Amino acid sequence: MGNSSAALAAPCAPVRAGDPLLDARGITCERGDKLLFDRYDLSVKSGEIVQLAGPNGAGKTTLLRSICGMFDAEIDTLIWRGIELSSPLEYADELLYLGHMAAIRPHLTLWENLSWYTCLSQCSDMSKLPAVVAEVGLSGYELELASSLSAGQKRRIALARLKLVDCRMWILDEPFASLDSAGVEMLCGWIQDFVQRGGSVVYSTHQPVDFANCESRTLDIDQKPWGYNSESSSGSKGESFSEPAR
Amino acid sequence: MRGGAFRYEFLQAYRRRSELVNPVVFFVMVCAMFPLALGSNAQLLAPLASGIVWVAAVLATILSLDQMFRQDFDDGILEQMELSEVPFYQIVAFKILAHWCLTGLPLVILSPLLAMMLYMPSESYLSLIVGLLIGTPILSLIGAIGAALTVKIRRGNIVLALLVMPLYVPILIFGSTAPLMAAEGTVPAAQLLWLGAILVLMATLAPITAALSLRANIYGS
Repeated sequence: MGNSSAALAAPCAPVRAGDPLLDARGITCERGDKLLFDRYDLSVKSGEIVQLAGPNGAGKTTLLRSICGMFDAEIDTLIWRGIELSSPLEYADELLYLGHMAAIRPHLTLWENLSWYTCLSQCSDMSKLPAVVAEVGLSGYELELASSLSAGQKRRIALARLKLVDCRMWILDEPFASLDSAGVEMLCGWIQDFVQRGGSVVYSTHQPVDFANCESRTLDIDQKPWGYNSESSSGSKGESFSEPAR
Repeated sequence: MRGGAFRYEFLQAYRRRSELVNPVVFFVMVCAMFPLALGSNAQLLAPLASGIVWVAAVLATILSLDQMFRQDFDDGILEQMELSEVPFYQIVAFKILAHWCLTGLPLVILSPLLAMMLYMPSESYLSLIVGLLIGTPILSLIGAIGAALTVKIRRGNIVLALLVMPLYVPILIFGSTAPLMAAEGTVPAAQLLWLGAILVLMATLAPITAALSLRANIYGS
């Protein structure tokens, strides 16, 4: 355990806003027969909020999963903090992914769920737990089994992870789903706070969210440069118009 | 930190014990039905005892396999574990260990009682218990590969059973013949050593194979 403190310092060290964090070029994703992205580029700077917009089925989730290594996408060049890597899994411990599934163990209590989660990461802080539980508005429910909580409350447990683990990038897939208005406000505050400390957030949502004093941009992933919308699911056609791009 | 992550595997398995106890009840029921159907005849049952106990143990394990990863996969927990800093195959190995502690180990503990009910000769007890003690972890390990491959298939129980059944045959043969040899007065060293060798092989390969299969299923979802 001698060198563990050095290993600990590296992923949690602070970053300067504006530094390029992630630069993924040439993301190609196929889902079934359908080509969702053909050589799509995504770059994220430190201290930046990137919102993915687009109708259902446009590929928001697939893109988010691709950049955290949870989808088998082809990425031509992948640069994380200036270093070229071969797989997103190499920086997986520096990002936090919250997907559609809340990743809550129904047979464990709220408290056990969160302490289990802190065990998975070196950069997490057990001592923050009581304060975080209070902040998400779930104090008093610590010893309730997660299966007895409502969907919104489960969502809040999932969100509590954002506060427990220190990392560089949050990847949030529809984080505002099943949250009440107070919850949406709380999460917006967290995102702004995180971004001001140099973190980056990539998220997808359907509802308009306003971040008052943060750099935020929206990527409309439905507007694909190669005019893809009319295409449904034909393999041979997909081949033919990905040709000119190459 | 790792120890903590694994503690919750056992805690979860323990909380779900009502589901996991089903295979043990099944095991006892199958063994109890043979004397009822065949008659309580020591001459008839004694040579069959080890075979009956082993077949019941294999079937009970198959019954429990489907639950090994399914719920964690559906809830997105495996996804989070894969992204975490703890190596994924280690987590999978501990899930398998937790599964064995709650299904395999009770079978081993109950087996002498059921063997007694089936008039097993007293010289065979030790080789039955040792055989099951080595054999049931192998059943959990091989089963984990099948469970990981079929985790995305709804009602994948039959596919899973068809997948692991042929792989269980050698273990069934070695395990059930050992007590028969012991009854004849020979030490069943060959059978038990073979079981031990398979256990070492599977303990090395199965967690990695199961982790790779789960990862492939996570990628595709």
